[in-house]
Amino acid sequence: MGRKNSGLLAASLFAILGYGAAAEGAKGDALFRDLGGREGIARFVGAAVASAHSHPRIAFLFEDADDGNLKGQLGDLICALAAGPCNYEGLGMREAHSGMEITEAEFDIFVELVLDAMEQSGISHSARNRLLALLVPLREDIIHQ
Amino acid sequence: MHGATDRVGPVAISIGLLLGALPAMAHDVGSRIRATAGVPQIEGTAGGGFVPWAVLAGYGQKQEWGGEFSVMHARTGDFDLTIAAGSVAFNNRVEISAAAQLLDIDDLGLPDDNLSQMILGAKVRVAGDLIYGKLPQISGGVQYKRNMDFDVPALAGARDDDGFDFYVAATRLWLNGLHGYPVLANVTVRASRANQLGLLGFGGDQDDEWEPLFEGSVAVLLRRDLVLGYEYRQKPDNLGFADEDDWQDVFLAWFPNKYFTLTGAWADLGDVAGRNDQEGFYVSVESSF
Repeated sequence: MGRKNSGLLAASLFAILGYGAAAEGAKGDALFRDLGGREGIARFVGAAVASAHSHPRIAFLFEDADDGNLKGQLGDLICALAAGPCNYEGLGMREAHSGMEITEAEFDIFVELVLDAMEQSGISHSARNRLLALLVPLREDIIHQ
Repeated sequence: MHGATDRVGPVAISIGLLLGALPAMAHDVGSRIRATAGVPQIEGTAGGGFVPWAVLAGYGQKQEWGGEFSVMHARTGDFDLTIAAGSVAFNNRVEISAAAQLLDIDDLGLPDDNLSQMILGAKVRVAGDLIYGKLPQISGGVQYKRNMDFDVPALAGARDDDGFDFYVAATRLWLNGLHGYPVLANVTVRASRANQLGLLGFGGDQDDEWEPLFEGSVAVLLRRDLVLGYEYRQKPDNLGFADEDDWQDVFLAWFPNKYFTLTGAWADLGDVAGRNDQEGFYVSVESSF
């Protein structure tokens, strides 16, 4: 073997892994504020749902939805996840997506539409990813229901 | 002081740019989230520049397929290395790749002006996912390498003109890694007898054993379209005529969209074929489909 710096490398990797795991549990309403509060959330949720309606691969999933209700529920969910002053009182994720048979690909497409909408409404890279980190664990109850 | 192959790098990069400018000709790029395809790896698979990651080439999710073309050019004090590669992945499960590497050794005054090899690779996602679920994405891969200019490697003490590398890689991206800046970590363990990737053949007079080699990468998404990373790759040291050092690089990759990736890096290859302290840069361009 050549230079043996792999101990240092391993230590750095573990330090980063540990920090990453700890940071995902962060709380407080900073994220809610960084998302622009209820108004900011409503703006990008509205834009994402509008994009979904015109996306050739996922429009059919939104066809039968009551748009006002969907935007309201999604806004409440995100507001609650971001520790904002909201309660999500809608269906559980499994029930809400029951019978839709959402695929991994369709889930990812909607995630990117939400990211696009957040970016276009001026929400920071950091806030986008902090929200995404909170939405990602919901996937297992959303796909293939 | 570079030879005729001096033109290969710029030409290859131009071809790559052209490919990048003709996105998604007959195929919608896959659904996976931007930048999760990684960047072109030096042996043709998806990864960082030097280290194979567990992610598969292109953006294909389950029930989709995708892939990429890439060219890469590295230049250090005494060497020029040009690589062209293509890969295709199915169902976010299996990736097949091919790469050609051409190393310009014109300046060394040896019987050949170039060393080259072909690499065929396969990688299978065994478990987990880069982003979703509890497990990191874990993949196993194999690379078959065939040296095409074996005269110099044979003189240098290499035993074989072809060989296999086997590796297991685990990769995870934490979206909320550093206060909202996503952090990626990758660990790869490889078994290999390849000297300088295989460009100097396989096995050698000094050491002819398979040994586990550790490779690692860490990266942070500075922006949605900008990834900064560091990689370290342990190397074997089989040939008596010259030391082979571990490699490291710091790369910056730009993902303006899901069709095109541009990567620039500072690379430290240590001693290569008796030439000391080979530091330099590499540039790669990639077109995803």
